[in-house]
Amino acid sequence: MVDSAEGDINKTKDLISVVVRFHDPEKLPQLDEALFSLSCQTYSKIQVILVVQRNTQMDESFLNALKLLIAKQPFEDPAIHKAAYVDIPNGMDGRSELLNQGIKLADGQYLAFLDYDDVVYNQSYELLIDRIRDSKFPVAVGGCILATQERITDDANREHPTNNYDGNPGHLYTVSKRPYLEPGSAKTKLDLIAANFIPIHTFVLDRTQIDPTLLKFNTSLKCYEDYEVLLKLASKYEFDFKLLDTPLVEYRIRNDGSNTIPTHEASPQVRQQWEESKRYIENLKTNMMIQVNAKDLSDLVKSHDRLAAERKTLTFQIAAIWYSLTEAWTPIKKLKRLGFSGIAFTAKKLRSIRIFFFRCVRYND
Amino acid sequence: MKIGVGVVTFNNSQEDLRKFARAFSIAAREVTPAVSLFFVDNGNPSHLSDLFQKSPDGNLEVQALPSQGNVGYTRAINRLMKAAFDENKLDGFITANPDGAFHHAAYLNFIKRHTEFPQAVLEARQFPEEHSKVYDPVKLDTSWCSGCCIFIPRKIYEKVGPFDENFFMYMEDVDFSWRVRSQGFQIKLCPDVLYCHFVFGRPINETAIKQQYVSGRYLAWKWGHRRFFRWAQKTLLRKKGFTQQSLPALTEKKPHFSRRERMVTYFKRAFFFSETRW
Repeated sequence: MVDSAEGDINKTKDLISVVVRFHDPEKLPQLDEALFSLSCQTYSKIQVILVVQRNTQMDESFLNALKLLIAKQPFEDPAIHKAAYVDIPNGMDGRSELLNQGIKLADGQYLAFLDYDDVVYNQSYELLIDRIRDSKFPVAVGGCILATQERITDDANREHPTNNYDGNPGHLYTVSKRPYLEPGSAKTKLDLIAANFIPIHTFVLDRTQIDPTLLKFNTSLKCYEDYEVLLKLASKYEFDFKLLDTPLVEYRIRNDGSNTIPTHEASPQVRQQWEESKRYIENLKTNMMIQVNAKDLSDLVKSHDRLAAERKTLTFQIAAIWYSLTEAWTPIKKLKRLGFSGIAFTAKKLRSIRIFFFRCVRYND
Repeated sequence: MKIGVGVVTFNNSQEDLRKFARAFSIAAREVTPAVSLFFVDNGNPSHLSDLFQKSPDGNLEVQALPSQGNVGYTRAINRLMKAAFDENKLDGFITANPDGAFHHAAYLNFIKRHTEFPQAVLEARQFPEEHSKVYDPVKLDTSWCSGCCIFIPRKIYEKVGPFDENFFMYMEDVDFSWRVRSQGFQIKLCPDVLYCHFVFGRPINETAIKQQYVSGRYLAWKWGHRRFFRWAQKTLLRKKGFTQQSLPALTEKKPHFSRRERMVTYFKRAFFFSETRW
């Protein structure tokens, strides 16, 4: 377990601060929905930290308009929220810096993140905070619904009835929804090392249990900034995944290209930046230590067949794993049979061993 | 345009009601003249008026009707609608579930949409978990509207009448929608009118499920859909503890709908009464 003394204890007890990042004045209706979803939470001790990437169109009156937008939501305590501009130096990606500045402004014991174009369901924070309290883990992760939206315009030459209230033609029409992860797909921290399956708005952190130096997003990354923080947290703390099958948030993907996700249509320069971020993450994984449960490693071995069936190459870059001796022995033998190489272990205590993966291990089907 | 909101409470939590009252007050500030709230308690006293008295906002009027006990949602909402249209001569009436909250622009956008579609009953988009039934994304037409939050213009109320009180609760909105459409009016889903409905995580209530089948059986009987009627009745008899004697009597004179009028119905997807998007 974690030494709670290292956490950031000077925070308002039971309050959850939700950092919302925003950058485009044309997307106010989407921000409005995100804020409305926060105000409708059943967990009422909630603080919005709206961090806005300043651009030349934005002046003090725009910031006041954003504060007014927050004031129009039915929060129990309308005076607790904060909105601030963040100036992003040229060449720096604003996404991480916005989060870092938001964390600095946050007063709550609990911390969550929400992008302006996503929403949370009514009981999200109540349930996730309950999980943190029950499990004593500093991180609780919930389930996510992936919603696909189309902006409806009159491109089809059909009569268009109206503009949306934001003045833009058409509105965002939800075409489909499905779970972000297959229901029943039990995930562990080891799955997180293989690939990120935790969208940024699906988890809540208890800052009193977490080393504050780990809660810093890397401003040199063009993407995967949240993945990096999750990996750093995973290397040190336990995660609660009990609510992974319970839809708590909605991740909205739009067909107008306004999501910030790697796509094939991106420019070569942007793709190169993403590749660099990806390499950084892979390197981080190679050199990190992570503490996992014996059962999780065992489950990972069992899942080999499924991964092979998908004809995917899985690259493990786990440098070391703490492990229980009695439960570890069988999985270690299985791992060897599956082609893992470079495994060595050293007895530290009678019931625990340390497994070293000296180099990247690849296996194919 | 003067509008009113009707709310039927039934043992709702004070937390839900406080949130409803806060959201109501905020949304009311965006429109003139004042929005009137009509409410009645079907369960324990909600003291909803007290929640509004504490609000610093003056742009709303609250009228409480005396409770008649648990007479069912439909009778209660009809009393409120009658008070709004017949006694207070309002231009439009909004039904709202008390376990929800209006978006700040909800009244404003309802009024805008009504100006645009005066021949339509308007439905709010439920939020954040939107109802999955289909609607035309351009013309906004949809087959029926959920009574969770709808706007009924006076003109349509006068022509179509109130909800059918043979429904104790559930599906009175489906029946009302079909009557509206069968008389040449429209149902429009307004994507820019949001109503937050606290449905997530609600425990499964066996009494409520039973009531759905009871209402579904009556709806099918009324609109002459034999297969759906048999399915609902069979479920009530086999799985919901009813006997032939305890089934609700269908003694009302069956209304006659022409084949053209019945074309608005849709009984294919159980209680969705519509194709769905997911």
